[in-house]
Amino acid sequence: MRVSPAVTKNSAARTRSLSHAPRRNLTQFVIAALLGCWMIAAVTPFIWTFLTSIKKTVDAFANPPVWFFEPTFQAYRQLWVDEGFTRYLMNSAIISLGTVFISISLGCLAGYGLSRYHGKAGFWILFMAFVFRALPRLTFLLPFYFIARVTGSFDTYTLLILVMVAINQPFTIWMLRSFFADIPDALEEAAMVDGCNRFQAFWYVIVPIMGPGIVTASIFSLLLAYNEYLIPLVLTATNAVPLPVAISQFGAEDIRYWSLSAAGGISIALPILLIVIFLQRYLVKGLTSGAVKS
Amino acid sequence: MKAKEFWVFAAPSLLIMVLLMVGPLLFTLYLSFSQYSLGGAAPRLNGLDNYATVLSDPAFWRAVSFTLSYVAIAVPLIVLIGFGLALLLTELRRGKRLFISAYLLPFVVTPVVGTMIVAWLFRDRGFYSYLLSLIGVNVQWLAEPTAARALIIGYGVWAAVPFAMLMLYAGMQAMSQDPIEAAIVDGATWGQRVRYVVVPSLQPIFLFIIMITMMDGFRLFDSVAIMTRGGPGGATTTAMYYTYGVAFGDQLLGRGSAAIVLCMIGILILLSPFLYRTYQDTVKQRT
Repeated sequence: MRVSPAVTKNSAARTRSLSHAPRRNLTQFVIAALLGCWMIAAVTPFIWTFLTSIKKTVDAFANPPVWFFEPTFQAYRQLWVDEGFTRYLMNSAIISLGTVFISISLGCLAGYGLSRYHGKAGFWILFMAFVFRALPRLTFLLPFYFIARVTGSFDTYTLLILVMVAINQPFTIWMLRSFFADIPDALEEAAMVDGCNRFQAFWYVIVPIMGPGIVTASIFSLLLAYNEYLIPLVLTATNAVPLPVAISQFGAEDIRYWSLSAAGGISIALPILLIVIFLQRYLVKGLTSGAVKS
Repeated sequence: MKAKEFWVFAAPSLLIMVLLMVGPLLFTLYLSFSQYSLGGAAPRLNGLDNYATVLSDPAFWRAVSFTLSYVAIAVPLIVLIGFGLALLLTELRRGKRLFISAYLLPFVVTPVVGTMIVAWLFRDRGFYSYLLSLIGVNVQWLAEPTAARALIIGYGVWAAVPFAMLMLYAGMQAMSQDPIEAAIVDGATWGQRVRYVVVPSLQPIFLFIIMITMMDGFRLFDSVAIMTRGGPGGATTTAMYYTYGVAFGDQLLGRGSAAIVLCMIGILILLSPFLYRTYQDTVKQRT
């Protein structure tokens, strides 16, 4: 699987349409309106939650909804100061960044190897990784719970990071392999003729030009780790609890906590919103690399 | 690259996958043939007892059937809506980036958060419940079995459509323009071009999307755990939520392992046509 260069370019010049007929304004309007409907469906829940998070508790569950209200950031203060949400943020940050660092380091080595080696073993590794990607997380998690209890590694960062690295490894090596495969062999061969060994050629020649690919794979790895719910739900109790598990235990059913939970939801979503806005190029590239074959 | 060099590069990644995935997988198999509860005595082999118990549990079959209907309904909707939006986006002249940003949000946001906020909208006093009540629809979304199922499926579609759309959109951008021009010269209408040129050439992408959304559907857990807790009355319990309940709710790790092994076999059988295709593609690509 490869990314064709045409896909990754976002410039207007490459933008194509399926029709050559003169596109009338009315048609364009209808298209934009239809797309707009889905856009409203996509963002309304987030906007509504944001509004809820800056309402006073009494306004938050007013029925019919209150449209004009005095905004307050009380819920955020309560969340971060009184409820100590900072601790969960720290946990999430440590676990996610640790996972990204290890996943990508291992994934780059394996992905590069797989993109350059054409033997039978490479093929089977890729195929088995794909099969593993199809399996539910619980297949691996049940024994981890047992092992964690026995070895005393339950509820630690190390355990969570290792488990997430392993479970995301198949996806990571597939993606990185496809990016490495786009880089011509000639590059490192030239370096090796000049006296580099294979690893030096990889490190000094290939990795620097892989920058965008590594950024893309890192973002996906980060999202997977940051968003993960089931793994920490099973393997943490108090010490290493990350944001998604913390917010899920917040009592969303009790309407008295709506503003507070809404503030939590918005806080967790905020870093992701920033990624969507500023790193969209990489996200799209990563998403489409899996499907668009050359 | 020589085989020796390859193994050096692949070793760290392989090591972690073998230790932390293949190992646990074998351990799950072992546990599935053992009697073991959390905090109880050490695992003791008990043959096929766990499998017999799980297979004769009506709750297991209910969970399996809801999971299968989830996949059967959500996957086609995701593909169709995603394809529709991708076509529209391709024909749009300006503002694509804005739409893509907005569409990406439900897909990349933390599922726990996405689920939580969608559930709020449909609760009593929720915004969508209120809007629906204005047009005379009064449904207790989280208390009625059918409505709760619809909500879980609707959420799954809402969150996965952007993935299908972006894939197909990228595929349309990368398509060769020649067959489309030839079709235009031959007088094909827009609909005919889509049907006979675009759809066939995007076939591999369609298959890929179906495969990935099926995989995600079979392991559906987050939205059920947050929104409905499997209820009302087990109506939205998925295979994964059932397994989780047995293993960690009832603390029966042995029986839970048997449930997950059965799920795994089911998933591999249902996905086997796709896995075989991937196998063939990988063979082709590497020769």
